Amino acid sequence: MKVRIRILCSFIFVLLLMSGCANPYKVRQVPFSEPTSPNPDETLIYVFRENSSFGGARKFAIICNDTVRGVLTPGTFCNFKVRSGENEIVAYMSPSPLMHYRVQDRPGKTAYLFCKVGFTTGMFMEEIDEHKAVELMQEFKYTEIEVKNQKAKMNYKDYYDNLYK
Amino acid sequence: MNYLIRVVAVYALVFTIGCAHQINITPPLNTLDADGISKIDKNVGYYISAEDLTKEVTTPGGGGDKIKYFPYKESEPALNKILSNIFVKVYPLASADDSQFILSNDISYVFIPKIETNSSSKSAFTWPPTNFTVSLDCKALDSSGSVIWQKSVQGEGEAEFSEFKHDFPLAAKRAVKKAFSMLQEEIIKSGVF
Repeated sequence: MKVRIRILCSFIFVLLLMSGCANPYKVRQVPFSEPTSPNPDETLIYVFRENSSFGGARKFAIICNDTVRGVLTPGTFCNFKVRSGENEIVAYMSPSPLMHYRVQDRPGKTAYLFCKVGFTTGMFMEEIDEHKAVELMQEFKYTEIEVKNQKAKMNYKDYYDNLYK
Repeated sequence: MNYLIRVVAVYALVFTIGCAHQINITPPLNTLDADGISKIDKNVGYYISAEDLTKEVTTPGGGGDKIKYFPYKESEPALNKILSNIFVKVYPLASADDSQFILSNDISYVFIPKIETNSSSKSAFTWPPTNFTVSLDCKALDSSGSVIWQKSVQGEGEAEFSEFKHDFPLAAKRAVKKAFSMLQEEIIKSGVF
C-alpha cells in the first residue's frame, strides 16, 4: 500500500512538472542574430524571462498591446519592433496576464525588459539597462515564433489603462 | 501512510510560514499625465540620497506574508515624470548642495522627497496587499539652499483579488500614482515656482 501511494504521488508530481501546454505559436529556439537598428518611428523591445524553476513548466506569451509577439520559457528571450508610442507589454500565462510594463514613446531606441518569476523574489516585469541585457543575451537562449502577429483575446493597453483609472 | 502525512506537512509548512515577496511599486508612467499643464520655463533637480535609493522596506501583505520593495528607487521614475511634466528640464542630483552642477545646468530649484509607506490585506489566502499607503513629504530648495516650499500628501491604493491577479503590486502602484499626482497638483497650484 505504502509503495503504491509513493508511486502515485511521484507520478502526479512528475506529470505536473512535465506536462506541456499546447503550443499554437510554434515557438522554437534559434541562434540569435542581432536585429537591425529601429527606424526613427520604431522602438526595438527585448523581453527576457528569468531562468527560474518557479512556474517553469508554463510558457509565457509575450503580447504587445493586442498582438502576440513571442513565447518565452525560463532562461529565454525574444525581441520585436513596434511603432513608437506607448506600448503595453504583457506576459500572459493562460488564462490571464501575469505581469506587464508600459514602454513609453521612445522613437529609434531600444528597451530591455526582464520578467522576474519567483515566489518570493518577485513576479513582475522591469526595465534593465543595456549592459545587463547584453550579458543575458550571452547566457539565455533566443526564441522565435512561427505564427506571427496572432491577435490576443483583447487589447491589454486598454485593459491596464482601465485598471489604473 | 507516514510518507503521505510528511508530504502534506511539508506543503502545509511551506504555505503557512510567512514569506516576504518582492514587488515593484513603480506605477505605469503614462498614468502620470501632463494633460493641460503649461510647462514652467525653468530647470529643476531632485535629490535622493544613495542610502535612500538602496533602502528596502518590508511591510505586511496578506495571509501572514510580507512584501518588500525599494520605496525611493521605485518611486524615482514617478518623481522624475511629474517634474518633467511641469518643468522644462529635470536633473537627478548626486548631492543636494552640488553648487557647481546646479549653476552649470541653470537649476532653479531642488526637490527633496521623503517617503513613508505601509500596507495591509483583508485576505487570509493571498499575499498581495489589498491596501497600500504612501506618505510623501516634499520640499523645494532654491539655488541658495533655502527651503522655499514644502508639502505633504498621502496616496492610498486599494485592489481586490480580481484586479491584482493581473498585477500583484496593484494597490501599491495605485497609491504611488495617487501620491505623485497629488504632488504634481500641489506644485502647480502653489504659484511659488
